[in-house]
Amino acid sequence: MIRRIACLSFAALLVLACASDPDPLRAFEGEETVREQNTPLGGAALAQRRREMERAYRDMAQHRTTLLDLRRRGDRSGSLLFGGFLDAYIDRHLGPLLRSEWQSRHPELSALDASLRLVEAEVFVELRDTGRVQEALDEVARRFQGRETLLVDYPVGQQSQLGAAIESLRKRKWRG
Amino acid sequence: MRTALFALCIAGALAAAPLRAAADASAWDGYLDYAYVYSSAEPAALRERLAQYGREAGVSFERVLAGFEAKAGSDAPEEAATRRKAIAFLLQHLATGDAEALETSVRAAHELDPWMGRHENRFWAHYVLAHQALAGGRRHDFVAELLALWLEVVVPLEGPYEALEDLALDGAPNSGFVAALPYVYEDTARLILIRSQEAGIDEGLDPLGAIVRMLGDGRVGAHPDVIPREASSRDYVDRIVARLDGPESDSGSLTFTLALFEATKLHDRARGLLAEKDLAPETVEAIRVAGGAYERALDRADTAQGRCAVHTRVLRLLGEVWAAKQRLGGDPDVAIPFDVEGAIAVYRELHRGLDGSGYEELGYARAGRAAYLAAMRGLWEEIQEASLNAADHYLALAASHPEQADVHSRSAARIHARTLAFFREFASAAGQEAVPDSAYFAAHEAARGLGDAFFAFASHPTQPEIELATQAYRQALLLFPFDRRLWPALGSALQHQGRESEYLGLGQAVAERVTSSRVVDAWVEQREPGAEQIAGVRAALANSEAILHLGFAEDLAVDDLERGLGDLRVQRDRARARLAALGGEAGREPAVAAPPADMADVLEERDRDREREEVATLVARLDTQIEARSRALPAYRAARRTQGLADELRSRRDHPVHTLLRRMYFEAR
Repeated sequence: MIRRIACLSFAALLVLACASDPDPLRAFEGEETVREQNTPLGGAALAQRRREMERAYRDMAQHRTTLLDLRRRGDRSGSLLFGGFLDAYIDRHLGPLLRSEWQSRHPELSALDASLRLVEAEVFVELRDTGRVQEALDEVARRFQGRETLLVDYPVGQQSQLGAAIESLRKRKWRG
Repeated sequence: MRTALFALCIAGALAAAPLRAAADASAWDGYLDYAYVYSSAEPAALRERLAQYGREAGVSFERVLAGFEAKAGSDAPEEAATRRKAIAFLLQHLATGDAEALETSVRAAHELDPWMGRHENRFWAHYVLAHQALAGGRRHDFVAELLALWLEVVVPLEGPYEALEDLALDGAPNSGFVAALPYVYEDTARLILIRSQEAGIDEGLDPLGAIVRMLGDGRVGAHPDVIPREASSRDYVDRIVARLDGPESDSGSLTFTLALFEATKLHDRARGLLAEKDLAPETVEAIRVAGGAYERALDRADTAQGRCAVHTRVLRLLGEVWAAKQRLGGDPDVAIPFDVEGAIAVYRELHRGLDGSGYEELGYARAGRAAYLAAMRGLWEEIQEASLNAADHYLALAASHPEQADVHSRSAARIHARTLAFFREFASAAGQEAVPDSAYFAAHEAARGLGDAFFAFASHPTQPEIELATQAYRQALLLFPFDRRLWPALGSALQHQGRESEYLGLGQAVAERVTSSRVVDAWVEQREPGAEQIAGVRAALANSEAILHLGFAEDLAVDDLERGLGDLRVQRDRARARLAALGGEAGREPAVAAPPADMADVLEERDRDREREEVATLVARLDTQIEARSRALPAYRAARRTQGLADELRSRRDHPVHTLLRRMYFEAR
């Protein structure tokens, strides 16, 4: 976490140094975009949540692609700026979307929920935030204990069993 | 239905305004509140639209702006009025380029800070500030404002929009700013992809690659009932996303993708002018502009993948220019800041990635090894085509300007020699995956062109040049032994040096490659394309007389040779008749010993014996010639029929026989 804060602070300093606007990143601060649902949903509300999660999954995959591209090209400034955006996106949108326990248990959403958590952890790997990788993996392991054979869409574009996916991510935790 | 509802809502809002106050600036409220619908219009269209709204509202847009200015500082700012002021002055800036209007809009946008809980205010604030960043060339701020717009406006609105859409309420009058989401997508796309380029922001856009990908993922153009597909930027977004993630990317760089896309558009324009107006000054200027755009794209490339994409495309432009010069016979001063050497350097860089996963480091991590190899083959093809076209241009100049033939032919020879050196450097067994099948025939063309440059075009080739040309012909035959016209060229080259006696030895060495080749056997047996022609040449090359015919009988048609064979037969028949008249074959003893005769009879008898021996020798020689020519002629006839094959390979780089040439090349190594 300290590393992440330091990283973000540096990003902010960098941005301040090269921008005439007082703080273009200020807009990344703000309220959560998803209201927590405490009761199991059905019908249209369930369909709505599924769509939100599917969209978040695809968007996270795109974010990961962009982040990897920036890093491969050694674009430090772009990586920091985009990393700040990603942090805000995860804190304000993805985090609240994944907060409820019920969707990890719901037969219609559980695989999608697990897949989304794994992509989130993957993004943390690419952000070199080992603390949050660990947190995300511990959380998915806790929520899906005993369901390690669940088929998940991970890596993006492929399928694997949840247990194997968690193991693979744990091994890659220090990759950054 | 929803379109109609939404349109009705806008029309209602707009129509109500003039009724409320005929000459009141508030008549413009509706127009300004729905400005997200038309704010992305081109300046001229926007000016026209604003003028039309002014006529409809009974208040000109200029009066609306003046009204906002007059109110400034007089009252405590009010939310809607502040937002409308920001919008109005932004529209003025977009329509006229007025920098002061933008500054006024920015001040109003900042005044919206207390009301940023409202998505509509957030959208306009970030939209205005993004335009300010564009105008100031502050790419970092531009990117940050758009990322913020996405996070602050798009992400929170997507869920509610879907909910309204499910209930078919997305066009309902009180659905609020949520219903604007399709326009927000459209405006964002145009701002990133079009306005940033118009403003010259050609660096640092890469973090926006994520937004462009998301816009392409079922967002822009996904609401044809709100924005008709033909009015949306859907196709453009799709093309950019395909480039961003495709083999012609620079490891996913949006900045590079936009730069290369722009260069491609300019290239297309230059190509169109080339076809329409040949090398007119307008065309030359368009080519120069396209070359400059490619240079900018190259500057933006961080990886070998990007550099490969630029060189592949710009070499095509170069090849087109050389071909046009050759076709038109002129040599206008066309400046393109690229050359084949630069492209070969990029190929060399790419070649280092052939081992293991080295290609990932070169930018192809996502595109994959197959795309990496395809890109290398594509670059190779452009290198060879541009080089061959350039050399052909010089040879055409040599032919049309005999007084400068020595100069132009040597330029062509140097280009062909470079192409051959490139081929020899990289056409190895280890790197053959990255070499296109057409490379082997193209190398043959270069080798043959090198020989032709000295033998057919240069007026006074030096001895080393003649030596080089002879070697080039031999190499050309080794690469493509099925080129009938090359055999006499080799014979002539050797004759030029008084070495015609070496012809058969060299020819047989080439012929052995074909006659003993297992890949040629397999090709013929499996009746692959061109098998019949190839079998004909193979039969000819198995025959020494046919090889000699190929080298030295080019000027004679097969019919002439057949007539010659007939003449030989006639000569032989006459000789045989004479031999019979002389009493049989030479050296034959008379059946009965003649009685001694006088001296005159003895001398006459000796003359007859000598003539009989001479005629018998002639008959034997004619028999040998007839037998040899009878054997060689059918093979030679078959070999002559292969001429069309070379032309087919030249015009079709995907001809299946290119594959055979590759296999033969590596079989012989």
